[in-house]
Amino acid sequence: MSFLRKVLNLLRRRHLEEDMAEEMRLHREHLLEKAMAAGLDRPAAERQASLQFGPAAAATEAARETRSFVWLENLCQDIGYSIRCIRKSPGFASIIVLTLTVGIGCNTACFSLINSLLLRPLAYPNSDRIVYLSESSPGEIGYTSNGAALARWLKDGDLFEHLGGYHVRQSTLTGRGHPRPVRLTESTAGLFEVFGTRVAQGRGFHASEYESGRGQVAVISHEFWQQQLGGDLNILGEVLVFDGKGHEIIGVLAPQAFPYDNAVFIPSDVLVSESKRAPGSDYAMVTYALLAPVVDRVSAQARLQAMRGAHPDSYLPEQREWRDTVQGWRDVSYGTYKPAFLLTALVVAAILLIACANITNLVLARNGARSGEIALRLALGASTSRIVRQLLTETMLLATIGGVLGAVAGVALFRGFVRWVNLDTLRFIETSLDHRVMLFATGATVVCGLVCGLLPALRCARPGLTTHLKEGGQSVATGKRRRLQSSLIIAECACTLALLVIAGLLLRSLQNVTASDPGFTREGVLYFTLSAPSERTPDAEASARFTDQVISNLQRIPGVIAAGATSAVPMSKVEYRTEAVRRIDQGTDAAGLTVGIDSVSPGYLDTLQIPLLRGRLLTAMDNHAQAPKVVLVNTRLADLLFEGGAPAALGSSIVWRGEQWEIVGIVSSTARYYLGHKPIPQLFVTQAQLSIPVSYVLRANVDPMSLINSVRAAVEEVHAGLALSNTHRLSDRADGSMGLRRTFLVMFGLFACVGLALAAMGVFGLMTYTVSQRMREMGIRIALGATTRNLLWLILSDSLRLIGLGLLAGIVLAAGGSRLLQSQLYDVNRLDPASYLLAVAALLTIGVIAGLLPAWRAARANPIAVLRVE
Amino acid sequence: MTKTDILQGTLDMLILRILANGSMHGWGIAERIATISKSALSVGEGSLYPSLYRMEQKGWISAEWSVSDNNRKAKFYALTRAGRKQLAAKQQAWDDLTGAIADIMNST
Repeated sequence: MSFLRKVLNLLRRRHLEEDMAEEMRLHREHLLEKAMAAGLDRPAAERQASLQFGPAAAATEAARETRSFVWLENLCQDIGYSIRCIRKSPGFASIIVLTLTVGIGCNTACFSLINSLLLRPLAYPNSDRIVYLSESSPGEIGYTSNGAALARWLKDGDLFEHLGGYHVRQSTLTGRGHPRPVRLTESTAGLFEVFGTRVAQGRGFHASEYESGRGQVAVISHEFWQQQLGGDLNILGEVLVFDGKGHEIIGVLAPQAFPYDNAVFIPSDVLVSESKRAPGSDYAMVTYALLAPVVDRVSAQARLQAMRGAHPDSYLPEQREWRDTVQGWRDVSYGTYKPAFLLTALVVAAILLIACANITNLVLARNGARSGEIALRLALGASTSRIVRQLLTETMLLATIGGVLGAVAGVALFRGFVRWVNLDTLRFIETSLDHRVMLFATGATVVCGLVCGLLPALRCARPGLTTHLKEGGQSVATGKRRRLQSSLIIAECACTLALLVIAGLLLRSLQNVTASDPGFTREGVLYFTLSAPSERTPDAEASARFTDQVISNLQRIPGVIAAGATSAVPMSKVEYRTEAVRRIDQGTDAAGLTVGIDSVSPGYLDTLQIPLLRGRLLTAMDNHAQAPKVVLVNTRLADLLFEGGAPAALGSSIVWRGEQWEIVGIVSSTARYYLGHKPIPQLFVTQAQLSIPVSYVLRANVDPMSLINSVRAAVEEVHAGLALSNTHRLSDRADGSMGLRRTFLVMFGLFACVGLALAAMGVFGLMTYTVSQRMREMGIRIALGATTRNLLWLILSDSLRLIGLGLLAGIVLAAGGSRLLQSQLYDVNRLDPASYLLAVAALLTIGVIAGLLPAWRAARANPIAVLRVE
Repeated sequence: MTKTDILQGTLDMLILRILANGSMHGWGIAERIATISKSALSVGEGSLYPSLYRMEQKGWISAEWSVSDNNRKAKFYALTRAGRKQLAAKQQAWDDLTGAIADIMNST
């Protein structure tokens, strides 16, 4: 009750004050009358009354305290005073607000990113228990599994709550407008349950539909239904024709029900098909599972590995050394970027530190200038804590403004970043505003405000009173304060140098990657995929002939220099296939070498101008199912598998898929996944002998995209109604493969620039302050005959000393920080001298300029004017 | 005429007791305390008003501006029902305390 009263009293403050003053006045008057009635004259009576009443101020103060929250009233008073002070020096205030906005903004953005990716639960239920299963060869993390592995994993009943996988294949949708390419997802039971995927219309698959084996039904995604089928309201029950086979639509998923953009799901018969579950089968799958609540990832992996050992019939002998891998969903999606996130977090924290250092210096300087005023207040009876509170309030007020602006800027920065890197296409990541981000921004602001404000305030409220009052506020900076300011500047320079070095390293890395030779030609090259109609490709031989026909048609297009086909176009997103091979002289219990398999047409290597180094290329004669089993290998495979390298490999035989293959040629190694990627061992075999889906490549002497219509016509000639998909320029893809590097470079470049600007501001601010404090000294020196140059050097040497120390510390910091960056650097030593030198030069130049301006102003001062001001 | 310090809680009790005889203004209360105790106790106004305001906050007394007997404007304080209960309680506690002290002092 009394608490409430106190709150109410806050509002009626004015009235209560008057009330109280009136009451006390009347009391004193009464005492005065009494004294006069007792015979004293007026002055004596007044004295008596005062003595009897007691110290008025203290009484009022004590009375006031019982009525309402004094601390709150003091706070309001402080805030009012601070606002007035800030109004008086807008430059000072705006620099602090701006600096803090930048610092808090960067940190809020970075924290939003880390929050969305690592802290918040993903947008699907039980996401922390969703794992990705795969088989890995020794020394690598693999990303695929197959039917045999899936069947084996299903054997352990209580390890997973749900387990499901899918296999994707290209197909052509006909009968609904012109033929369109569509990727079919053959999924097993349990896949939808792993992600909690709901069916919005119709139903999911029945158990029998997985077993019937011919998959006559289909479930489509909401997005596919809206975009490709026009949101047809009668879609349930309609039959869509994929690759000539009809599938009845029995269900439509809820919007974004499945975390990836798979459009059409049909039931997979992998669990009833012997061939798909054979060891080493080609039926590549992507497998996800929902761990049972009591199981953790590590023990799941151990149990799977044990089960692998118990079922050797589910994999090839060459895969004996392989492991079953269980990766968390987050890890498999972006786990490799964790060091980069960590580095980014450190960098923005460094920026905030620099910002705080600047602000602290500014506040110190300003408090120093007000030391006269403060000394006066202390002399008049203000308590130290009151002074400290007021100074702190001022800083906190500025910090709050800067923090709010920074939070807003940070959220906007994050949104921009999400759009720039298309993060919102990853459906399972939540990029909406989160309370954690706001909490972080608030916390950071408060901490910064306290750090920047408390230290200077405490410093300031203990001066020697007489010194300050005597010198009228123009005191020389105390040694301790100078030391603090100097060390802050040194820290700033160190952080900035580290940032510059990192940006420099990334830039050189990007340059190296762009200039690197991937081992094949990418200018003028186009690639696309077709889904071959099943009636034309009943077996391997027929597939090869079909491909040959398409290729010869492509070659006849004017402008096309060469054309070919391959199962794995470098740097495309097409599925890569890896299998194990071994030398013929190695026993069956030798662990095989994992190599990339390319099923190619004879002219493929020529099309991409991958040079042949020894032996011969594959020819049309090798491109028959019954032809002798020959392969080409690249130099990497030759070096890894054969003691003597390429010369020893030529003519030798290897065992692959249980059969012997002779190596008839060695070709140059190429980068496969992205520019700058180390080449993997690769094996090339003709299409007729390994019939897997291929993409077509052609090289032209004009922009290949301009030939797209001729390409369509050429394909149409071979078989009507086929749709092209995945059509891209290879050069675009290759450049795109460096997209991430470029993103990082831009980010760190920006951070480095921000750091540099802040450091320059810091040096400038400190030098200005120092100079203003030493004006008298400057005046005396000029009067005694010092030249402009002498004075310039005097001031400059001060700032050079600080910057120099900062550089040294920064080099150490950069050397340490670049360790986190090592994985991202291509062909650049993390201690690359050029980057360091450049960074040092940049910082030195900016620092000198920043220090020069105030020095120049000091040296030009009129000695008389300076000396006269006291 | 020594000015003795009076503990805060005790002062509250004295004020309540005085107001039990009728409402009074601030300086009247101070005078009465001095008069009745034959000047042994004198309350500094620096303690009086905080006490009054505090008890008003707690709802033990109520305040009202009025005119005093010599036609001066003054703020009169009166005891409330809660105040009466408080007075009784405080009186009881005081008696217990003094009784206990007396027992010890008079023991052999």
